[in-house]
Amino acid sequence: MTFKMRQVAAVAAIAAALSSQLVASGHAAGVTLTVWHNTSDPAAVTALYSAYEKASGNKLNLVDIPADGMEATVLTKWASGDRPDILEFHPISSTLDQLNASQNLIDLSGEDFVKQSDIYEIGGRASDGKVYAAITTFPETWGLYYNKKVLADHGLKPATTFEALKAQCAVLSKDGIATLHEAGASAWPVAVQVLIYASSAASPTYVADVLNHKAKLDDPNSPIVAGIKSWLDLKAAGCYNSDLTTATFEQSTHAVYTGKAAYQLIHSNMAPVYLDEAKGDAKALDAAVGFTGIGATTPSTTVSPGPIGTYLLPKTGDVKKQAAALDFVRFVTGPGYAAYIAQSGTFPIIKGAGDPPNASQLGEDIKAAYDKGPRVPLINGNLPGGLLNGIQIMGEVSVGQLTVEQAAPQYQTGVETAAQAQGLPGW
Amino acid sequence: MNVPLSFSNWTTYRSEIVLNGLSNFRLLYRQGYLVSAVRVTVVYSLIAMTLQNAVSLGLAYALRETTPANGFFRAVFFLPVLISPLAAGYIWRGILDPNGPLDHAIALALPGFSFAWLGNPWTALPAVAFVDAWKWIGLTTLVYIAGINSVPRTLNEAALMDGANAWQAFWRVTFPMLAPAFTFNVVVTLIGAFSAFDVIQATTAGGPGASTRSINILLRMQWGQGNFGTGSALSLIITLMVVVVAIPLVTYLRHREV
Repeated sequence: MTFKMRQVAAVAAIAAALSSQLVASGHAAGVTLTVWHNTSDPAAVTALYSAYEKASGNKLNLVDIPADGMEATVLTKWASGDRPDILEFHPISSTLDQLNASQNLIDLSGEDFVKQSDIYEIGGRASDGKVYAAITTFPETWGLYYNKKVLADHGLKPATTFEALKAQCAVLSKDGIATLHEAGASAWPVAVQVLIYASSAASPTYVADVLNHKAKLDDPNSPIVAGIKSWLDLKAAGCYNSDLTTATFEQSTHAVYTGKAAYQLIHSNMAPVYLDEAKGDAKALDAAVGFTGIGATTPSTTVSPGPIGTYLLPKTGDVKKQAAALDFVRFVTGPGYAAYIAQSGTFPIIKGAGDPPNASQLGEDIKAAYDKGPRVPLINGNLPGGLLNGIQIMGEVSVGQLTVEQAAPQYQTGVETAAQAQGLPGW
Repeated sequence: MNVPLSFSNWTTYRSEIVLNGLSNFRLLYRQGYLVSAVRVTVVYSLIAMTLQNAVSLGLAYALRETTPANGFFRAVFFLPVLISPLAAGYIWRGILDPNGPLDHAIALALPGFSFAWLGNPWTALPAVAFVDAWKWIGLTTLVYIAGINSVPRTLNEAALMDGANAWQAFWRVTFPMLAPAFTFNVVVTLIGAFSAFDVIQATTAGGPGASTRSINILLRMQWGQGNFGTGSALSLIITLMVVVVAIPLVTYLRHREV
């Protein structure tokens, strides 16, 4: 309740502070904009929506897109010709290309926020090089959330490599603690583990080599093959929870927070889910849970601009709504941004906004993992198809329906199919 | 409309749609998805159809008399029909969870029992087919009750007077007269199960692995990856399966109706 009151107060404060600026912009009020938004949006993001409504006089009609299977839901709706005015979605090249960005999305390359942020060096651009996404949130920093007490009780330090993680299984399993909580029912966390491993293991030129036909994902020494083997190694070593096929990522969060599991491999933008698990008590969360980056054999931190707080503007043909949608994007990256950062406790990516005054220790851990690096981009960002079929493939691998030798060619086939569909030369 | 799209390169990547022959079918086959999805769909449909008809036939016979008690139980068994398939799926996902009430109940007799009914590749498909059957059993029961009550009682009474026992009277006299209801229920349940999506999506989403990945679940996955041409091809396959199965099945069952 305290948390909600704080949220309401923050919304009111943001709205009061900014309403005059929006009126000054001369934008017409009274437009209703449809927003396809992620159900994992933290309170600060939804508060920002409310703040925009109050400040602009426009209304945002929020359509829930479930976090699990978000990509599939969006693309299915997209296929039917359905278009929102604002789409909260991935800003990586592979997904922007899937939306046929050059034809279907408004080009934001000339907007001020693009010049004021370094994030557009690693995301927000389709393969044509133009910016189609307005990114407000700190890059997804992939790593391990861990239960501090569980590790301390067993004399362990947070694992920073998959090899170290495997070594800790022997200690933790004796006490019935799942070393790494996997979420097979959510599907994507299983696939993501392979991507994190591969991102870390890949050479800097690997993705370019795949695109130039110098390497394949199913080569015996490919990082994807190594990632699948690593996943299976951890399974064989008994590192996962016994209910890995039916568990969801929310249950993984619960397991780590309550000490039934030591680690969850997921990205930084899921920190609010942990806060929910702690019932909004940031101090209790900071006392219980920490975060560290993880690499294949040497420590690294995998980063990718994420979908939470990232906005794409589809061309709807309604000039008035498109203008209002652009106004929304300018608001969340401009007048509304500092207040959003202050409330969210996340670190800013647009110049001019100061660090949050109330960043949690968990937030500081995430920032430290990002700063410490070495940072590697998530491997699927620039690969055609974004390795989305990995969710199906790893689902089958996880229950023994596919071997490594059968799975790896399917990853390659996914890239080939998408590249051909995209019309990339040489495919 | 779906037919030409099944033979096209329709994806999210481009706005132009060009016919590409059998490429979509070949791709699905090469990836191993097609055979697996057809097998899952057929097995799922057979389990759901058999279970649903066997149980509802028994229920119909037990509840054939119109009494207040039977009226109550007819309503109870019909209630799942009124529930959204997604809601039914989510309810059963909870019930069948390793920490759910079913395992807890079994653990009373077998301490420590815990089994992931929906997480095991061998039990997931029968479990999900059971949920589908449970969901629709009330409807088929009503059809069988109507069928049973349309059989003249004098025929049964004559059989009993001639020395038949209750089972023989049912199997030799009542059941053959139920052929129209049987035809309707078998065809509707089988074809309905071919199009299974919502119950599976809510319970397992096609998992674990590909264990419950029916054609419609695979179709949704293909659409979710922007592969609309292959998705359309899968849709066409379902249509063909319905036609190929329904016409001979209806023809055969109609022939044996009294």
